[in-house]
Amino acid sequence: MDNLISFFSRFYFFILFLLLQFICLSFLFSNKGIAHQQSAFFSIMNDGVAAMQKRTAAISNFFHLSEENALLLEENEQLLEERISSFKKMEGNFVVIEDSVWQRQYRMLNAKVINGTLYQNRNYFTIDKGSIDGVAKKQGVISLNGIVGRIAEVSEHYAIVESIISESFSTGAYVKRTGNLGYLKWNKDPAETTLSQVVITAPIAVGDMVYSKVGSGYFPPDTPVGEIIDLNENEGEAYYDIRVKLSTDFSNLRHVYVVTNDFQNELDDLQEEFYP
Amino acid sequence: MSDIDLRHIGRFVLLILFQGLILIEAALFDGLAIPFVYVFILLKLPIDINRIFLLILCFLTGVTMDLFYNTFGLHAAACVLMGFVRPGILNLIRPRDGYDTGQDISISSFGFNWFFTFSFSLIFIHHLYLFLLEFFSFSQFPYTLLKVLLSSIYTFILVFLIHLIFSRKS
Repeated sequence: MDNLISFFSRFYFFILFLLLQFICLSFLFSNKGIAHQQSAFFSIMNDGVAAMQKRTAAISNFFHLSEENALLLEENEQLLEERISSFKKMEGNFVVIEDSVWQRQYRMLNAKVINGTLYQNRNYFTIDKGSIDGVAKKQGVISLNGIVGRIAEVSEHYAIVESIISESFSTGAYVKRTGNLGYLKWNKDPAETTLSQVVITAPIAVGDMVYSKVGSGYFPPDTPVGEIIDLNENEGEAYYDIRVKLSTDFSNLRHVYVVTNDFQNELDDLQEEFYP
Repeated sequence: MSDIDLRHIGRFVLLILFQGLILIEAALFDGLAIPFVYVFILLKLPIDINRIFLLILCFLTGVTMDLFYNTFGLHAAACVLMGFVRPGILNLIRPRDGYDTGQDISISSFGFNWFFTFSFSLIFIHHLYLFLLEFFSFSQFPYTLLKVLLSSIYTFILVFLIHLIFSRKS
């Protein structure tokens, strides 16, 4: 009898082990990257965790105030440069009126980075703006220095960003000087990425700047990606091996901007119609 | 059978918060050594704990950790594997006269060698499975193995320090 009980106990132990492994692995390998979109329970739990992480981020932010200050000063400088009073009037007396020639296309929403990872295979970070502030899935995220990532998941007050340093992240980019197009693909170094699919005949060189392509409309035109630091020609292959040093420092990322494109729906509709 | 008491719950809360809020940024050598100290929660569970209960506790601990890392199922899978091999390892390194009921897993009851064998083997299995699942390829196996080894050593050192700080002098 004892043997029988021990047999069943071992049996259930093994079955439960297999069952739990199955649950974990199916979560992990479901193709959505973060697999808990539909589950209200996990969404609530995540809000709780994010609220806690916000508290600790507030403490560590305190120690970065001086760096932060320098950044803000720099940003202020840029803004002052763009102010109307810093432009010189070239001729005649112009009157500025509200006209319809220019319509604003990209709007920026500033957000604080609450926490994030650098050394995983897919790196996500959480920001303190959510659907209430108008954040939606797939929107682009940039910093002052350049491209950062894309919104992967939104809750009411927080959002999770899939950063450009993730295996699953890919977006179009081009070399500014020559205009050659390629695709960004991450190479597991938190400070770098690679530009693939650039044809070997392109006259590019180390030191050229790489910018994001307008294509999908999620990033404003000419958002910097980084600078080419290594260029390899592989024999018999049609494409370069290009390493790009990212202009965004992910280890010290505290402020980001979520990009809203007012014409995104129009662009998506058109492209969906054309490439179903 | 010794049950889960207040000390285990306190340890759970403290270590989860310590790992999820502080150690999440504590990688060494450009991400080659990443500590996962929260496994100490599972190491310190009673020796004669019900195995089914053990697996469920491992799963819950892993899922909680996944919430902090935004990696769904990764830590849970590694913790469940750790819970699965734990009874076997306890059996393998059983002292000659067996375990007493209610004996606590600590250096003072079993000595450093025993504690090292027990903790390090479980930590190593946990980290190996975790990093293999994360990279999901054997192509960079030497790199992954180095990462597993360095991270295991890092985790063990921290576990050892926490053990020293919190073990009561008898």
